[in-house]
Amino acid sequence: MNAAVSLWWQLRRAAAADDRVPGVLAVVSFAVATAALLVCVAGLSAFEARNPVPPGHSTGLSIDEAMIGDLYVTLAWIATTCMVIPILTLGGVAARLAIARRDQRLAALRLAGATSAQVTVMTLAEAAAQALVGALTGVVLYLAVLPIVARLTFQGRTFDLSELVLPLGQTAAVVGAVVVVAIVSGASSLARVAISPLGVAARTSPKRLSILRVLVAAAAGAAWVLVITPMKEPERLTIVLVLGAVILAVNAVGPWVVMVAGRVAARIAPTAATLLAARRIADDPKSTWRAVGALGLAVVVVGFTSLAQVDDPGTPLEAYLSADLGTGALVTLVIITIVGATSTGVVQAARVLDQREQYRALALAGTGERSLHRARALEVALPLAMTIALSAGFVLVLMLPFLSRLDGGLVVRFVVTSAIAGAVVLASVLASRSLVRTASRVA
Amino acid sequence: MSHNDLDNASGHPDRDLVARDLVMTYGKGRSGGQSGPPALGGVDLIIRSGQSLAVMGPSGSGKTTLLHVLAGILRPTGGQVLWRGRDIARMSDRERTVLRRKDFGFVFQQGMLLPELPAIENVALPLMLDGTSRSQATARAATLFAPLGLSGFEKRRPGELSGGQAQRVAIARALVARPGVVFADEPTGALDQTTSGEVMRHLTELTAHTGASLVVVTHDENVAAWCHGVVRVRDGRVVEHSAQAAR
Repeated sequence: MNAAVSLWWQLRRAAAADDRVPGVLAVVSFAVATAALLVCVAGLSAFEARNPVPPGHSTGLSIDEAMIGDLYVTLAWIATTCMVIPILTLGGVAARLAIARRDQRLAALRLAGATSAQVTVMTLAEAAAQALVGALTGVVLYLAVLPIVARLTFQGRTFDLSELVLPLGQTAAVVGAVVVVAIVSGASSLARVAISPLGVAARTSPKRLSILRVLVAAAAGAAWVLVITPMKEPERLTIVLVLGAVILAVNAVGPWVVMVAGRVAARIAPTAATLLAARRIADDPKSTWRAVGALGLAVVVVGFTSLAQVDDPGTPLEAYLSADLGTGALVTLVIITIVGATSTGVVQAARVLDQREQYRALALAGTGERSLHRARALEVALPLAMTIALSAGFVLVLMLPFLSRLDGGLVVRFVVTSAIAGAVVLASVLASRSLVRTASRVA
Repeated sequence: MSHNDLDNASGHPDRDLVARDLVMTYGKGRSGGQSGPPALGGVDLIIRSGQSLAVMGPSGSGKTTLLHVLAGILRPTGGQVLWRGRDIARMSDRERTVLRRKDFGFVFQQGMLLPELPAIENVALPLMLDGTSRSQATARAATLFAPLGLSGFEKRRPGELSGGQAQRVAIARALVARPGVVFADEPTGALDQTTSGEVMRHLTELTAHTGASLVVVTHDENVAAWCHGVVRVRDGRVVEHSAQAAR
């Protein structure tokens, strides 16, 4: 164990600058995931602290205000549940990045006589170290954005910084959780990668994802309808648990839908760039979904909350609630967009590093840099456009019965906001343009 | 073809690839500046239409640099590379990219196939990148599978092919656009002797059949034996240029 850790440290120090790029990408991912998670937890804590009706306590406030305070906490929990899964997914992406790009080095170590256990320790040490550096950077990032978060107005007032600064213990717990997620994700990735002395198997035809995923999603949808809908006043915990199950189910069925769409697109793709993009989507639908799935969900949340705003609030509390729903949805969308853009940017950059020899071969054979960029952009744009269009369409169709009461301005704002979020995620592909340029340099 | 044919003729400017007094010095552009020893020190060479030429030499002798300069990948510090009446060395980057796509084909040591595409799509890709419709590109790609002994492997991914099969797919990809010259850099470097012979047989037969010239960089005499001529390079200069009866 000591020998493995010592060897890992020596190899780390000796790593070439080129080999450090995946490490930097992993650290950036862990940092963004940690910062986003801390902002979510801080927001939730602030709403709980503001809630005038702690469970089981009577209050002298009016029933309306007490109920609305409780509603804010429930909504904060729902928003946090929506955000936690993409944030954890980003943590998983970072951990896989820490593992995946080490296939050749691990195989070389096995050839040199390292045992499987030593290789595992070294790999997980790498993932844990990157997670710790990333998480600590994330804490700094969180503290840096707090003044901006504090300016958000909810319930008619902005936050005090003291409401949003988490106690040291909670902050340390979040940092610890990120490191644990990295180790668990890393160990699970490592288990899937056969680290033999001859390295990992070459890419073969991808296995189809099981249609069971669709059945699981249908069951979760049914649970939502059958469990939550009949309840007049469902417990907050019940809502959060069932919502979490629905989100997990959507995450299960999403990659299957993306896979089917990718296969259909590959069959009909008319150009080289579209064909490459479609094949990559069909090959790795899970990673494609990781980039776009959360955004689809956020579009649905933003759609319902922003379009359902009260036109003519009767009381100041209703006015607050109406405006705050829009603000909360927007904050959720912004955080998910940042997390999704980071995830997409990092996955795309890692893919270029993985395939730099193929990029060079294509360039040598006369493929222009523009074609390479177009294929990468399409790889993100196709599922992104599909997900956003389906999510936005879903919201607008469900809102059709209330068409006469809908504010046209709000509909336009919803569509524009969704498009901007999609554009930001798509723009994250641009971050790795210089890597493509370097990889495809022929001379 | 005689030794004199190879050495003395000036080459046909419309059909042959002609190199004149090629000089390549790394770290120094045409405008001058600091430089190391030349990787190429005045190479003259003619690659005749439909003929194959092996470029041999020890590591660091300049054989890969020569291939890269001939293929328009590197711009030489001095001299000319004439192809169909034009000096490749004077073309812009964009023109050389188009030239590599339309007129030249490439085979590398590891095949360099795209892992996410089935074999048939890997072969059709250069045509699609050049604007050919998918159905036409795939149809033309399919015609190359039988001559290369790859019938039935069209839908396999590169990861599902043996080294020799993957290299034959790479040959199909290099030839699908009907190039004038195919450049192969150690095309059998990762293969055993038997598979290597098979790959070279396919490579030389198919290039000859399509009328393309072939330039093969290799350090393996068995590979060179498949070519019409052998050029030996040392310290950036051609030290021997011989013709032979190809296998």
